[in-house]
Amino acid sequence: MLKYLMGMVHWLFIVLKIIFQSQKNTTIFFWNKIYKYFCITIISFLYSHLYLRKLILHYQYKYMKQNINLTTLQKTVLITLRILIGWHLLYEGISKLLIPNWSSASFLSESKWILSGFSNWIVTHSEILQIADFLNMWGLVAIGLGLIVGLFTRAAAISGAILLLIYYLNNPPLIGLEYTLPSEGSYLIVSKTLIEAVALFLLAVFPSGYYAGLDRILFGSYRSNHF
Amino acid sequence: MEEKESQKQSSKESVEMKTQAFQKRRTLLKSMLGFPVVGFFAFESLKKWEFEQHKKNNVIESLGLENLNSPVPVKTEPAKPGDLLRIGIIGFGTRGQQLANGLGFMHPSDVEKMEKNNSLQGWLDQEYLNVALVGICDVFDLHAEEGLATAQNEIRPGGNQEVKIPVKRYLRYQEMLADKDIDAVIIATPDHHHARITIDAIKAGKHVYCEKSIALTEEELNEVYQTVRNSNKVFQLGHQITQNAVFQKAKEIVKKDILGRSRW
Repeated sequence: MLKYLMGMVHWLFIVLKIIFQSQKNTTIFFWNKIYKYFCITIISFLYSHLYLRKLILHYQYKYMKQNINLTTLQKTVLITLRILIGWHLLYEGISKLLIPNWSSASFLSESKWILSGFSNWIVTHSEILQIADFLNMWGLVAIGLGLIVGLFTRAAAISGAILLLIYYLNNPPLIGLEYTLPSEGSYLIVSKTLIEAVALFLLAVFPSGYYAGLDRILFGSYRSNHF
Repeated sequence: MEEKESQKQSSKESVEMKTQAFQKRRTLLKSMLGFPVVGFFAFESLKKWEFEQHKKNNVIESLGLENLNSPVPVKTEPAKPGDLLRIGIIGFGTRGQQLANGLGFMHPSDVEKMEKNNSLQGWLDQEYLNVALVGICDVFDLHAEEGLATAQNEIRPGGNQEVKIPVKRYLRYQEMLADKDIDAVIIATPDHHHARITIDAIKAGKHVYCEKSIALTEEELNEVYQTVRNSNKVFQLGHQITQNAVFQKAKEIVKKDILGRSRW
């Protein structure tokens, strides 16, 4: 059923493209490209959905079998770490919201390592830059709030870790890379962003939301006894 | 015995129920852990925002800048019908184009550009001056074409005007000055032509708006001064930026010694 819908939408776009081809409207070509990527992600999701589900259930089963019981001190430290990292990311997001016309272009234009091509593509297309700015600002706010309050902590932690990894890969303190943005401290390969990313991965593998957080009442406190 | 057992059972049940309620309260407290943190975060960020504002205001207060009088823009009365001023532009380069924009005439491609930037309405809101661009004089054909397109464009502040005078293109300024249908002349040529063209225009009986600078040598300047003095025509030199609000504010700041006593 979905495949038929997709087919119809695809034909609609082809017709629109033929209609607008004479006007040589560049925005239509841009949305065409976005539509292609959108189709690819949707189709890959539809096909891999079942495999993703299997992966998630596999890890849930593993976690449920684990039956670890942490001491109160261990839980307290985990929860404190979660709240502090959440506060940090929330303030980063909000401070960007309060600056008028903040853009990530200045940060992305300095990217020199693996993600330099990707960052260059974002910076040169202004519509994609707008999307990236929006996702950055509101993503940081959402992840920060989720971590502090304890709602969907695992999802927030994983997405925060991926985001911070992207920040790290755009600005790694490796030998031979010179940046114009000044940074404090002396780093070699390992930077604070990388450490925070791995700390978020730590928060993802421990169910800190179920020990103390909104996840506890929403999705069952019994899970805290099994993980 | 039975009473004691039942009592023990009921007490056990009540203890169980108490621990259940206790557990529920504990669960609720544990899950609400994040909210006071969010409240504290909001409080602190508000404090920080107020601190930044206070810092900004501190600078303004200590310099005494809030007591400056902002200059009030002077509104001229709209011209009565019948006072139409027919203007010719000598030299339609970049400055000529800008002066025409100020008069209320814009080139069609510039209109499109402003429409894309959403700045067209700001230009259309400018005051309607009862003028008509009647002559374009330029030796460069490309500039003259742009001038004609600008003068004939119907999109103007105050709407499309009914009185349409055909626009003429002249190659030499002497031809334009000989034309009886032109009341005033705007001189926007390169600097070295200003003095000669001004003198000829005043002698031909036209009012003159001349772009700065007026002359290159002292002799030219004196000749222009004598010519204008001996005629009854209106002459204005194009120093316009001193009317800008920035200059008025700077004048106030210097007058009130806000940046310290200035020594000239």
